[in-house]
Formats: sequence, C-alpha cells, structure tokens
Amino acid sequence: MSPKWPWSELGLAKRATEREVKRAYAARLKQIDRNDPAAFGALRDAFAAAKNGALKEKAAPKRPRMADIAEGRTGQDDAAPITLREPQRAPDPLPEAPIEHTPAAEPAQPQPPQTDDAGHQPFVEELFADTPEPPKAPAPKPAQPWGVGIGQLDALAQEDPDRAQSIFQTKFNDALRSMHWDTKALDALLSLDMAHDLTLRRSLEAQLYDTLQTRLNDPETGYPVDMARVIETHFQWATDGVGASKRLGWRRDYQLLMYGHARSVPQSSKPRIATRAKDKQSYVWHKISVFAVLFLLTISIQEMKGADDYIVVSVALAVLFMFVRWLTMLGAAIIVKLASLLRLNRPAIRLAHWAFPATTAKLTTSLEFRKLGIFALTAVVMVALYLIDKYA
Amino acid sequence: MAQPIIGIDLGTTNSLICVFEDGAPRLLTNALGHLLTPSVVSLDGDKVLVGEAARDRQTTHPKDTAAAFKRAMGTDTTFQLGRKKLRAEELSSLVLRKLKDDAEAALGQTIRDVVVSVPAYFNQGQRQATIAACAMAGLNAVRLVNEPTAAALAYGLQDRDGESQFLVFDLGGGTFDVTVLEHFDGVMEVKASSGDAFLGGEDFSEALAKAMADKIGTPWAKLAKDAQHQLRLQADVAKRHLSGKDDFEARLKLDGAHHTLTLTRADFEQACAALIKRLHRPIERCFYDTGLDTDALDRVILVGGATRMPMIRQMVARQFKRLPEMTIDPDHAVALGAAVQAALVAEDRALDDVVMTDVSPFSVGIETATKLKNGTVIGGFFQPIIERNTPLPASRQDSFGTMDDNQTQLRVDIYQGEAPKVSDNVHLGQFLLDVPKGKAGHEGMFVRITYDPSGLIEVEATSITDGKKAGLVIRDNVSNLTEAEIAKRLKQMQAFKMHPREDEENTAFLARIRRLYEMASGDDRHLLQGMLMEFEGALEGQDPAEISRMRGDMGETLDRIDDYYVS
Ligand SMILES: Nc1ncnc2c1ncn2[C@@H]1O[C@H](COP(=O)(O)OP(=O)(O)OP(=O)(O)O)[C@@H](O)[C@H]1O
Ligand SMILES: [Mg+2]
Repeated sequence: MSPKWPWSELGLAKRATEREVKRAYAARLKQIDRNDPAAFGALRDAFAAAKNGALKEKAAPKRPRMADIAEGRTGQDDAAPITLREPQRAPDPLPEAPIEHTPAAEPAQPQPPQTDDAGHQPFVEELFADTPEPPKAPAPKPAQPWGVGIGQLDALAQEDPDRAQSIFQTKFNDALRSMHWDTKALDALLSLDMAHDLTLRRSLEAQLYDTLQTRLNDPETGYPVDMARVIETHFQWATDGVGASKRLGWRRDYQLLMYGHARSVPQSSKPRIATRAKDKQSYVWHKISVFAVLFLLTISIQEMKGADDYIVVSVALAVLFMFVRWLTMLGAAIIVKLASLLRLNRPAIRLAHWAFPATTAKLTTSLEFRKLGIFALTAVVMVALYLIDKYA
Repeated sequence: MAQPIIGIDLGTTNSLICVFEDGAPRLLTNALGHLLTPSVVSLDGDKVLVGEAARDRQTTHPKDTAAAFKRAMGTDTTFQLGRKKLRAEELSSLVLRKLKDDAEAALGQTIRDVVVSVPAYFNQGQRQATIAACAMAGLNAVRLVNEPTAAALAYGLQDRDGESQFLVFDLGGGTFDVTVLEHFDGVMEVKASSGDAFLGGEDFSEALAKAMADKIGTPWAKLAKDAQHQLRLQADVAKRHLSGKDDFEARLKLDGAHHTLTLTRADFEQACAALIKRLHRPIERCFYDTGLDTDALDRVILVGGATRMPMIRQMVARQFKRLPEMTIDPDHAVALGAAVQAALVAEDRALDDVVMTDVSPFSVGIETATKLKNGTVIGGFFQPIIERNTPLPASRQDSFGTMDDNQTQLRVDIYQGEAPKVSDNVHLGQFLLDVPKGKAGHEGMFVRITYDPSGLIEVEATSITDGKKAGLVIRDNVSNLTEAEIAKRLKQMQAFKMHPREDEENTAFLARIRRLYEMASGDDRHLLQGMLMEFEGALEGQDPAEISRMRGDMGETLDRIDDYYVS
C-alpha cells in the first residue's frame, strides 16, 4: 500500500517525526525545480501538513527563559522543576494568629541563576545591569496597591511580574474606558517594555477593539484623532490592514472603526487618519467656521426679542461646542439664523433636527458629561442674558 | 577564465563588494585599501569623487556633495551637485561604478554579472531603481537579494550543518529589517520579513543633532539648512563616541562660533525614545505572521552599523530575552551573503547542498469596490491575493464578480502593500478584461498572481464564463526601460569622469586636512594650514616615496586632531 499524502509527497513511507519531515523536505527541495511555483507549492503544502501531523518527539530540553532564570527554574525538565527550599511547608496551624511577613514565611528565595551549557548566564548580568536586581527577599508590599505610576511598572515587573501585570491591566482598563479617551496614558502603557510581550500585546489589541466597538455604537461620532494616532503607532490598523485583519480575525469591523469617524466625508477624500498636514487643514476650517458661527450669533443676539430667541441661540451654541465637524456646525448655525430671520423661532429646532438628525439626536442621548456641562453652562448664560435684557 | 562571482552591498552609508571564490566569499578592498566605501558622491570640477574623499567634502563642499541617497530610490527626488541635478539611481550608479572599478583592479578581471542586496522592505519601485542603477554602471544585476537574508546566508555558511531558528535584526544607516529564519539540513528558510524602509542610524543622528541644537540654545527649526547639515555630521560622530562611553565632550563649530557640549548617553537615549518605539512594530509583525513566540528562537543576530548602539542591544535583549550575536562584523555580513547568493545563482559547485527559500515581504493583490445598500459605490479597497510572507515562488488565485448589470469590462489594478485602502499602497500595473454581459455578480473573473524569487510578478485574469484571458507581467529586472533607453542612460552616466584611481589616496588625504581645517580653531588651524602647504608642495615634487612618507607622518597628527574635534 502506498503511503498517504502528505507523507508520500515528501518521499516518506509513513507518518514521521518532525525531524524526519524536515530532512525529507530538505532532500526533496534539492531535487525539484524550485522555480516552478506548482511543484514548490505542492511541496510546501505537504511540508506544512506533515509538520502539523508529525509524530511527537521526546520533548527537547527547553532553553531556560529569562524569567525562569530569575526565578531559579531552569526548564531543563518542565515536569520536575528544581525543588526549592521547603517544598512542603505545613499549612499555618493557627489561622487567627497575626501573619507576619518574615522572609522565612515567604515561599522561597531565588536561587542563584543557573547556567546552561550554551552559557546564557553572562548576558543576564551584562544586559540587565541597569534594571533593578530582584531583591533577595521580597520586600513587603506597599499598602497602597495602586500607588504605582506607569513609569514604574517596568521596574516592578522585574520584581513582581504578577502584581505588575494586574496593575497594568487595571490602568489599561481605566485608560480605555475613560470619558475623555485618555490617549496619553494608553500610549504610555503600550510603550512599556512589559507591553511588548507578544501574547499580552495581542490581547490588549483585542480589548482595545472590543471597547471601541461598544463605545462607538454610533459610528458617526468617532473618536479623537489622537486615538487614531495611538492605534496607528501601536497596531497600524490603517497601514497594515493585512496584519490587522489576521490578528483580529472575526473582529473584521476594525476598518469601520478606523474610518468610522470620517464616514460623512465624501468618498473622494481620504479618511482622516491624522497625518499632520490634514489635521492642520481641518483645524483651520474649524477656526473659520467657529468665527462664522460666532459672527452669525452676534447678529442674532442684536435682533433678539423674546425667550425663544435665546433658546435658539443656546441650542446653536451647544451644537457649536459639541461637534467638531465644521460643516455640521455651520449648517446648524445657518439654519438657526435663517429661521430666526423668518421669525420661525419655535420650528427652528425641529428644522435643525430634520437637517442634522445625528447632531440633534446626540443632544439628548450623549452620555458625555463634559458636553452636557457645556450645554448647561451655555443655557445658564443665555438665561442670565435674557433676564438682564428683560429687567435692566 | 570564468566570470568572477560578485555580490554587492549597496548601503545607505557604506557600500562593499565581495567575490566568491574557492568555496568562500572574500571582501575586496578599494583604492585606499579599505573594505568600506562610503556611499557619498561629490563633484570636483568635472571629476566625480566617491568614497572617503567625498565624505570629507560633505563638510567643506556641502553644495557639491550628496549622501544617503538610497533613501530616495524609486522617487523623483533630485540632488543638486554643483550645477548638475542627479537622481538617486544615478548617484547610486556612480557608487556602483566606483566599486566595479576597484574590484576589477583588485581581481584583474572585468565584472559584469552581480547580485545586489536591497532592504527586505524595499518595494517594487525601489527594487527597479536599484536594477536601473546597476545598468547605468554597466553592471547586470542577475538577482537582488534581501539584506537580512544575505546576512543569514553568511552566518549559515559558517555553520553548514547547524540547525536553528533565528532572527536577523538589521539596522543600517537608512533602513531597518527584521527577518525570522530556520536553518536545517542545508536549507535556509526565511519564515517572515518585515521592516521600515525609512528608519536607520541616520535618524538616530538626527535625533541627537536636535538634542544638541537644544543644548546650544537654538531650536533645530530655527537653524539654517547649512547649519542643520553641519550639526547632523557632527552628531553622527558624537553618536559613535557614545556607543563606547557614557558621556562625551563635543567641541563643535556652528555658524562660526565654537561650542563645547557635554553629551550623555542617557540624553541620547531619551532623544531616541520615539525611534525605539518604531523598531517594535516590524518585530511584532514578523512574529504574528509566523505564529512563533520569541522563546522559539535559538539565536538573535545583529547586522548593520547602527546595532553598535548599546540602546539597540538592550532593546533586543529585553525583547528576545537572549544575548544578541555579532560574530561576523555587522558591516560585512550583508556583502558576504550577497556573494553567497551570487554563487547560488551561478550554481557554484561548492554550494551544491545549500538551498535558500525567501518570502515576499509585501502582499500583492488587486483593487475592489463594494456597493452599499443605498446604491453608492465605494472603491479603493485592497484585496490581497498573495499575502505577505508567503514562500516564493508562489501562485495564488481568487475570484471576483461584476458590480453592475451588463458590465462589459473588469479593471484589474495591481497593488503591493498592506493598507486596506489601495491609495496607501504601491501601484504595480493595470489591465482590462472583457466579460460577457450579464446580471451583476453573475459574471466574473479568476485572478491568478504568480510571484517568483527573482522578483517577477505575473498577473493573469480569466473570465469565468467564456474563459477569455488577459494579463500582465511586472518585472523587477530591467523591465520598464528598453535596451535603447538603458544604453542611452549608460552613455549619459559615462560622461561623468571618475577621479583617477592612482591619485585617490592623495585626494582623500587633502580632503581630510581641509575638513579638519574647517572644524579646528586657533593653533590647530595654523598647524593644519602648514601641513596643507607642505603636502601640496610634496605633490608638486612628484616623488612617490616622499609623498607616502609624509602621509604617514601627518596621518598621526590628523588622528589626534580628529579625536579632539567632533567632525
Ligand atoms: N559605533 C557606532 N555607534 C553608533 N552608530 C554607528 C556606529 N558605527 C556605525 N554606526 C551607524 O551605522 C550606520 C551605518 O551602518 P551600515 O553601514 O550598516 O549601513 P548601510 O548598510 O550603509 O545602510 P542600509 O543597510 O540601511 O542601506 C550609520 O548611521 C552610522 O552612523
Ligand atoms: Mg546595510
């Protein structure tokens, strides 16, 4: 009976170990026409499948990792880690007795790092010389668990990786969920050495995606350009779509998130992914439109007669503060102005709502207190103006 | 006699040429007896200077000198040298010609076929410009090899029976590449490559130059172009010193004023924090693409002059939890490997049992559009067909449908890159395919892309219902230039006369004295002026023994002055 694919393709008689698969592949590779994509492709496919299905070899001794060395493990044999002192400490007989943090009560002291045959010990000292050495006996933990700054986390990770991890995660969650998009903290956290652990980083990216998605139930809003910049610096959703879609898998909508906040921009213009020049341009437009709106408002205020006028103006001001998109602001302001010229004060709001549904809908549903605050402040000012106007 | 097998490392800062003979690569020296030829071109009257003399003329004749032009490969940027305007590939062709002349003198043979190394992260346009540069230097680039792959070949040859999984970290003057490879049974298999074509040692120099400007008290942006240029040159020297010691006293001259600055390594590292951040991205990409963990690596190899900076080694050690290696001089590894690749292409008997497989560093695909529910069509989406880091040669196919009823043609627009929007990727070519009329989505095509290790990309579209075909071949090789055009440009470039080789040592020596004169102050200036006059006198005398004796004597004094001033 002839052997089955992929073993046959590699010239193997039966299922083999990974080592044998590699040797067979190397031999075949030297025989085939390596410039023929079909032959090469067929061999590669078989190689990949065979490596996946290879017989398990006896686990090769693993090279000790940095963390293991520091903890006194060698990884020579994962199943039986080097026995540390006092392997089986009797459980505390008196639970109600005051627990003291004496060094002896701590699990174990780190053993001097082990050197393996490849001589990996020296670099530990040489290259990590400037990072604080793990203390001989774990220092008593500070009472305040969160009194650690972002900048200190890397140092802490050397002493107490688990604690650094958990603080990191808390800070990351806070930054992600902060009302005002704490992009500074996010950037600082993602720039840490400890955040460059590949597995952790991947999970952080997924968390970022999920949070963005829940926060952006209305993709019209988008997030600050700064956020786009942080995403781009650390995960490159915009420039590395191929990689991002591989990593994020079913979270396919990352493109929507990335481009979401520029959705009302006409198709021909590029999404606003924050290159400096583009920012500047929109900044200028922003300024121009703010001036335009203020100008229109000044004229309106001069003509104002009754309470309705003030409501209209305050709505317009609130709109102005709440939405960065200059077109929306300008549009809302113009409608309000036209309405007031035509003495259509009451219907003006409805008109604005009709013309800019997203804008006015947000007015009632937005959860961002900062915006509501500005809105309230504006309203107070307008009422005060109205009262002064009436009784002065 | 057989043609020599030649590999060339055409670097942003330094270039090298290497021959493969008797089963091993050997680096060739230039007219000054050095292995490294700085990639700097300067015009002296109607003569072209390349190498060290040109590098020294960056200080004394900045307007006639160009450097780091590799960064502008594949663009329309021009460099002004005196009254001449030159493109990056033309300047590169002058460097290549100098390497060729020197190597021919060393070997006593003419050179034609060569393998040239390029950053793995060079795109098709940049690769084509490199090949055009070779043609303009009278060289035939039979193959381009990715720089980190070349470095890996050099290491692999040292240890042929080795079996390991390793990473090459190549930070040169202008580009950064990371490549993960596996070596077993004579097979050198690239698993993934990634990089940043605009990140290198020069950026670190610039960051330091900005920090130095702040220390002097004039913000970088306020400095004139010339002053920025001078400060950058001085920062480059200071940077090298800071690789050896923790602080460095820089004595420099800017706009006629002398300054003494104390620079510390910590200052420098702080100024480079943003650059270090950028180094992480390609590394992460590589590992996500291979699905490997950093623990799976057996070795981490450093290549490129900029990896001498301690902050780079520290970053590498932290990221990979391994001691990085540089057992082959990081300046030489790429050139040695390029020669090994040349031997592989020439099927040299010494390498019978060695095979190298590389990957495509970029994805290649076509543009697509979608129709929203309300009928608006949004185009410009990139659909990769061959994903990046696919082993080459590769041939993949995908199918696409029509968008409108009774559409008669499909436009196939080919792009290279990773961005979801084609506008951010590199356009490679375009063609149209006729399809029979039918309902939207009921007609369509298969698009097959074939990509081979020599850089040839073949695209073929087949109409699904009637089997009509259309296609396009995109070559890395001398492609879009016709034979006549190449001949014309070769002739144009040959109008530039190289400075005579016999004279080169003296020219370089004079350029060095003049550069130091520019930098120095007080008594040193008088001393240098005297040396200049004395040496020029000796040159008049035309006694080679006397001239060479004088070069030796004065050289020591120059070394001392060089050490004192940053320049
Ligand atoms: N001792 C040193 N310390 C710091 N930087 C150094 C040192 N020696 C060289 N460099 C830097 O290394 C860079 C040159 O490296 P290299 O010669 O490998 O680049 P290249 O091959 O010319 O460039 P590329 O590969 O990017 O095209 C320069 O930026 C130089 O300043
Ligand atoms: Mg290089």
